[in-house]
Amino acid sequence: MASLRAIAPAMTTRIAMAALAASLAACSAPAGPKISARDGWARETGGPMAAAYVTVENQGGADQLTSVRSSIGTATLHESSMAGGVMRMRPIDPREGLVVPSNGKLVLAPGGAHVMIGGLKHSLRAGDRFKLTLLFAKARPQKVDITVQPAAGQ
Amino acid sequence: MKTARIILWVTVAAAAIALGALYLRLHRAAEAPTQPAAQVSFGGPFTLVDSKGQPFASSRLAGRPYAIFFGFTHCPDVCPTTLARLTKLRRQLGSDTAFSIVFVTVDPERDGPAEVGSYAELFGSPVIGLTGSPDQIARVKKQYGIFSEKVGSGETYTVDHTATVLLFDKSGEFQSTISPDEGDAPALAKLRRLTNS
Repeated sequence: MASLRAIAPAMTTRIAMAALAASLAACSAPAGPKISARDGWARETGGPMAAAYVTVENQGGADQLTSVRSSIGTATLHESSMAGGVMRMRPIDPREGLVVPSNGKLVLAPGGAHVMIGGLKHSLRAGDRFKLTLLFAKARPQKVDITVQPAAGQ
Repeated sequence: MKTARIILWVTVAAAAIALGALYLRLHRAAEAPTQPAAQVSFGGPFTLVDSKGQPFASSRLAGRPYAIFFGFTHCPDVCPTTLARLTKLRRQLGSDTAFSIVFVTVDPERDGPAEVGSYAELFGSPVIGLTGSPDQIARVKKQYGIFSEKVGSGETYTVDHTATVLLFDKSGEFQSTISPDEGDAPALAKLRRLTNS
């Protein structure tokens, strides 16, 4: 009996702490992402591969852009990087994706993360338009318009 | 109490050491040279193949400064960005003939004359696209200090490669370089110096 009385308060404390932890977790649970995509463009192509760029904005909790799809070819996420003057291009692991920060944005731009499109049915000419579907870890897929821009820099 | 104070001081000391190490590392990274020194010599005569499949001797570049860039046509991001920037800067100098822009493939297996030709034509301003046999390309890469390495297999492999643009004056002497992560203003200043020399 004596031992039971000793255990009981400890149990109560533990339950109370568990309840507190649960309520704290509920309070700090991140809000869902609120994603929109804009400024989609691609460069005219003179080769078999195209690159497309887009800005993903997020007015909610953090998310990851995990993959991309396009009807004009096989689209994948890639990242270019420079080290010691050497350019490297690597596919983005879909399990990791590209982080879309909470209340921030992910910018795909030349020389960094970009959408690579291979297996093009025809080359892209300035003024062409197509759609790209962005897939996220949490948010629903987003469609974004891509406009093809002249390759000659402005 | 005493133990707690000792632990606290040890933590503070460890944090200070970590911060110091981080500072040194960042400082060194910022100072690390990323460009070859100007006195290093690159270039020399070569013969490659042009977009019509004809031999192209480097002597055809003589008399005008040139910017040479190595890349490959399956490269959709950094390569066209670099070539577009060169043509843009050349326009800013006021003339498509201020200097020649030369694009040499590091991927001769996939890039024949037709491939380098349509790639080079993309920029609305003359770019000389060159390819060659794997041996010819290997030799030119060595002359110009270019690193490249095939990554991946199958038809979708990519090629890691030096993305620095090399600048040569009208007598074929190496002058300087333009790095892809360098701003337009310093790049334009180098090109102006090159075309005025």
